[in-house]
Amino acid sequence: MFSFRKSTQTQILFEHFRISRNLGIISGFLLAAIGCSILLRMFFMAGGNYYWVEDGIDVIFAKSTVLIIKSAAWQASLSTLISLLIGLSCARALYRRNNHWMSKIVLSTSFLALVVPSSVAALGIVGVWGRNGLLGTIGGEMTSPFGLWMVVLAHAFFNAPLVLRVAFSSLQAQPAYFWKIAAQRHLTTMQIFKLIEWSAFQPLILPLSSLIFLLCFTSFSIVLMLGGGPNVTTLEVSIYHAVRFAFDLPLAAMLSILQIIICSGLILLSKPFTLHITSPTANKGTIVCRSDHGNIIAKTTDYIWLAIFFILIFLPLIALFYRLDLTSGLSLFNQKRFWDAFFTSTNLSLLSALISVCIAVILIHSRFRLVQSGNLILTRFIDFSVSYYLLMPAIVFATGCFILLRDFISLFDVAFWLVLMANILFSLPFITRILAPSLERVLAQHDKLSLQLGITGIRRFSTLTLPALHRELQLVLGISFAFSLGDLSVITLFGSQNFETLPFYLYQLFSRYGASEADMLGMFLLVYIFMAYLFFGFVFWCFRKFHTLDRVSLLNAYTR
Amino acid sequence: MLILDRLAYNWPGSMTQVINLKADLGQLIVISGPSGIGKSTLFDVIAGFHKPSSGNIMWGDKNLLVEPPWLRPISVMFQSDNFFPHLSIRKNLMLGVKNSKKLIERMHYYMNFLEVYDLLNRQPESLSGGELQRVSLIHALMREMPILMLDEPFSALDLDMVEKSSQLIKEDMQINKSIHLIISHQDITPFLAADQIIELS
Repeated sequence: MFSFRKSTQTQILFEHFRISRNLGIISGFLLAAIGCSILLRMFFMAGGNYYWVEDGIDVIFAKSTVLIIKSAAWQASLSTLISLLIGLSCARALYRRNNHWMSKIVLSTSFLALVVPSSVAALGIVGVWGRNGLLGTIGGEMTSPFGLWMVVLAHAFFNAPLVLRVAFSSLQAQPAYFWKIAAQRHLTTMQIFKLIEWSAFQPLILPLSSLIFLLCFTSFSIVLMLGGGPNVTTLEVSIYHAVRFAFDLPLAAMLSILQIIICSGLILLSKPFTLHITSPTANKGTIVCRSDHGNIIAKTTDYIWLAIFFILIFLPLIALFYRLDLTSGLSLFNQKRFWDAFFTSTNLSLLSALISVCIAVILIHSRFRLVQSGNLILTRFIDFSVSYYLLMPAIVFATGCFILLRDFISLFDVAFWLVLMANILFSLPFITRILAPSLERVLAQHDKLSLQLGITGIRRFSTLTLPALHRELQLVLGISFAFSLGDLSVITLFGSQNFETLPFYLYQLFSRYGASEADMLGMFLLVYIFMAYLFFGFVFWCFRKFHTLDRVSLLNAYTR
Repeated sequence: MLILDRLAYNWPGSMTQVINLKADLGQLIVISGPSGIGKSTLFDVIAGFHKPSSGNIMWGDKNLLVEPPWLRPISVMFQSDNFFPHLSIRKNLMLGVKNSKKLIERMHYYMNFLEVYDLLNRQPESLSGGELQRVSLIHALMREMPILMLDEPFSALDLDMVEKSSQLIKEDMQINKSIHLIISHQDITPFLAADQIIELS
């Protein structure tokens, strides 16, 4: 990030970029206005029906609310513990085995687990651990298709691969000389763990724990699909039930405010534990020899952990294919509802990906120019307008929209646009964080040269900035597309027979025990997301080819 | 006897170096040559951290190339990075050595002799370059291996300390009959008499 130091040179540069700066400020104001109006309306809704101090506190400290928070905290703690244990142990095992292909397979699988929609993952988990699942019979009466352990397993499915990837990178980034010293002094497995592995893992544990705890504590779709009752729930699921089934809007508003307070508190508490992902380049070209590599106990424990990873992460993905019943499953494609949901999801995801990436580019541009000009207040305002949506869970946002707009318009008529808006707003914090470092670097590199050559505005963006960012743009478009395609949060409130997305339709099939059709739809969603990544890759590959030629001719024109 | 038999190695962006050497017990071999010629890489090859392209490293009738680094009878003092930064000097020195009374006495003797005794409880990052170099030499000597490889052991030391360190190396050669391979840019002949000099080019 750039420091807030105003210099004459940056002042002169800044004079040329007023439009991009102002566009970003306007976008920031719009984002903040949407978020704040929803929050305010919820406050009024809760305050209008309750006497704030007495009834508000009654709701917060009601036995049922405390039970919900207790249940969510217990579930989130278990999920965090198991994800960390599996992720760290597997990273250690994988690094100790030092097998190139094994590492490649495990890391690719873990990436796949990170992009699988939660509804599809839930289906895969049931496919493995459910009563008729691949391993369901092993647990006998222990396993039920729904309940705490299913939710914990699903959360571990998403979070253990994240831990594994981060921890593996951290191990790779340990200085090569650590391993040299360890080999020279013939350190034992325990000494290697204490001196090298633990020092790689230690800085990750608090940031990862707080992140995973927050994700599991605010989990919605997994708990909705696999929770199986009031014993396993989160505040988000309770808000959904309050709106959708009980239609108790003041209660929903009060629970939403409570959820925002808890989320803000958790984020504030975890603020000192920032996760620094290290670049795994330190050991390139050096042989990492470990004295415990051939140890039979180490070998056995490593393979046991890798087998656990395989069962937890890989098996649910395999189960989707394994359980596929083509004869009844294929009937899915004859249904008009499926095709309607398909086109709705595609339109939503494409629009959401394109618009959110455009807004992110505008915001990053603007923020960069504001930093250059030393405008701390507006820079912080733009940061706030984006990060605000990390504090507000999607279902709280949907509830707020519901309360805010229901008196003015028919919500089901504008459901498409509401879901689109939610998808854009909730993917923005992630997209800006991924895109910002590269875009800021490219802007800083190109500033002087492009001004000297007179290449500015859209022309500069399309000929210089865009080709330099093709990889990052492919990634954020893919992530944003996948995020929207797999989202099962806002749609649960606004979805109906006339407006369905693929995950919503999957949820409906899942709830109706339409197993073979649900399996087929789950697999279709998985393949569709994968194809979308390939498609964005292909588009940017073509774009880069075209622009490499274009830039060569441009440079030739100037050198002549 | 240590034999490097047509030992060839290379590293990215380099020519292949081929080394032949026969060193008897108690001998001192000085390796010299310009920077970037592969002197430290040669130590890495002998210690087992870099794969040679061909040749053999024989120790008696044993080919060391088939042995992992921890089973080679070698103690290395690297040019830098000899210690775990999160452990005290005392803990670093005791790592990978047998915790015996005799060894602790020797450690105290070395520490006193090289005037670094007061540093035992300090962290490596708080030591100066010269102090680190003296402690690294002590650690290499403490392991009592038949082959010692010292990469630039005197580069950060003043003349007085070079003399003292050389005296410890001579003692080790006489008492333990160990082979010392030293990489040095400085002229060390006033302090240590080399039995062989290998000039890499």
